[in-house]
Amino acid sequence: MANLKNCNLLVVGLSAVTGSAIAATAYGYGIAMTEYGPGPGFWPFILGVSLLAVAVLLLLDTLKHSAEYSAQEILLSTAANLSAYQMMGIVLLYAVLIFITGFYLATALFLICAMYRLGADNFKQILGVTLVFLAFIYILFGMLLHIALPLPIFME
Amino acid sequence: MEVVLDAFTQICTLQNLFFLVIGTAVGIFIGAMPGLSVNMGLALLFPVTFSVGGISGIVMLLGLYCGAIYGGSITAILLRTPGTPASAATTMDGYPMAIHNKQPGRALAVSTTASTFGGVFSTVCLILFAPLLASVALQFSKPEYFALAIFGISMITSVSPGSILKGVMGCVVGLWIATIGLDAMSGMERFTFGTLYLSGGVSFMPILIGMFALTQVFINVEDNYGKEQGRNEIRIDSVLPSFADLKLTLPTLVRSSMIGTFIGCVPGTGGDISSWICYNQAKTWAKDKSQFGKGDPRGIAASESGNNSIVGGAFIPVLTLGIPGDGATAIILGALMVHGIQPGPLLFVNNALDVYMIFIALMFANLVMGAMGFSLIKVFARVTNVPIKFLLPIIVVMAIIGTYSYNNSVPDVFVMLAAGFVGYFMHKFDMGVPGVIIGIILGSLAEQNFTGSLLMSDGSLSIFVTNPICCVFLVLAFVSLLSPMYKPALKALFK
Repeated sequence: MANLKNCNLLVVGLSAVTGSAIAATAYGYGIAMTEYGPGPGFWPFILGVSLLAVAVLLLLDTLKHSAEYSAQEILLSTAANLSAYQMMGIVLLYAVLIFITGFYLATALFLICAMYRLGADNFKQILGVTLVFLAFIYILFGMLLHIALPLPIFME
Repeated sequence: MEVVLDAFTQICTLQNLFFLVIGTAVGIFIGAMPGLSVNMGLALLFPVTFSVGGISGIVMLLGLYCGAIYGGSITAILLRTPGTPASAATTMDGYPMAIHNKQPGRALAVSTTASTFGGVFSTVCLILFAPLLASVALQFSKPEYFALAIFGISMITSVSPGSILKGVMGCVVGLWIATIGLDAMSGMERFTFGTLYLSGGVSFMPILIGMFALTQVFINVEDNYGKEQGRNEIRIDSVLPSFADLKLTLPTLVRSSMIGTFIGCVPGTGGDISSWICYNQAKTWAKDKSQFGKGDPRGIAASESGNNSIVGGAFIPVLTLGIPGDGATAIILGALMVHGIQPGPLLFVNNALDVYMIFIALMFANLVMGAMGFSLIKVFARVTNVPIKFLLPIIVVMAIIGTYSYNNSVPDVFVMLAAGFVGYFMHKFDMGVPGVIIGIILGSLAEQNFTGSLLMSDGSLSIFVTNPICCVFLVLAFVSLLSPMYKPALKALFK
């Protein structure tokens, strides 16, 4: 079971790695003052070092309040969490599908699947909401604003 | 006085009022749709001004400009999906009040009141102090802009809902994200990993939509797991704010409108910066801060009056100096010039009638916006009655369309998704997303003016302390940043 202390340590680790990487990369861009102003890496270098410094502060804070943070549970693997992860998967699949089957077909499939997944069981209602919403999108974005939404790859 | 009356009668024609209402309605709609920007709306209606002719076209654009800034708050409050970046701060208290406290009507009433107040206040300032404020705004050079950005960044101590250290971390990451792409000074590519997409920088809108809208969808899916979903029946008895809310928010409204008007005067800033600064100030000045982030009306009032009051402020440099502060005012400036109105120092002398017509039109635009807002609150609030099994998938689709249509960019959609996923885990780990958003908003402003200042001073940091305006902003920023450390000690001392 995850607790706030472990999560904080994870955040510290990630931030330390990211901060070091930013600082090292920025150093490579050049941080010296030239006649044209500070080098392009100057500002990101400050940010990388700052991130590293805040990570150290968070580590000290976590160690100082170790018992308190250990008692705070973070729920990451309950059934409710899994339903959120499933939705993430559906949304990701939908985004990929948009650029394969085109916007309208992918959206129709997504709306039907997502509504069903969230507990809608009246298919007439699901279909009605889907069609009305798609018509709204088509009229607003397609006809009025002339925004070209992604087409299926075989029509591009 | 005769000129003012003449301008008033010329604006008060049926045709002008008709186009004002149309412009405002379109503006509210565009503002409420994530991904549709004020600039896009103005650009779309700009050609219409040719066929409308005369001042009516300008009046329509002014209505759209005011309406769009207000419209962003509607979805920010009801769906935690800011329609515009300027309304991101409104989600902090608007969404909890509308959804958790089940008071969407109250939240929308406070937001509409604040937006109207801010807009009218800044228009009055525009009328009374335009030349004076323009001269102060012109004093801003690179060190002052940098100090303003740092002052803005210092607000993370107020807006971080969990650990302040993690809020600061998020802000630093946001500042770093803003550095991705071409360096403005040297033209060197930074952190692009050789990709063409990143060389143009990471667009702000996908991250904003992902971290607010999509994250909230996942949180709602989790929170409602296994719960019986009935139809919400939230009744709204009054669309006007209560006297108690008015009394509570009045000082915040005045203070935020003053701040917003001043920020609006400074070219290159905008409603997004203004609303966060005003939110921070409202929280700093409040005696009881316990309700901030849980649906405090002062939070909504600060953010909304702060972003709407930039309208009048933004017109000060446009009309007095001919300098547009952002894309929206640049389009309106173009429209004014196309219609034969040449903004600049001589405008007040040569075209006094036109100036007063713009002032009166702007005032009417804010009042019409308020009237439409109040009359539509019951309609807007019905969104909260839609069962989440239908609402959440629709929000996902709107988030994807909004992101895609912003730049017609496929990678933007995946950036938005990534931001949504990361935002969900940040929420889990007690890290607030506003820090990241503030970092991205202020990143380029801070960096460009920091490096520019050092260039001006041959690398000497003394430039930041020798300039009075800069010095004041920096001192305020450090006082605000260090407040979590000294406030408990001060409280203990005075108890």
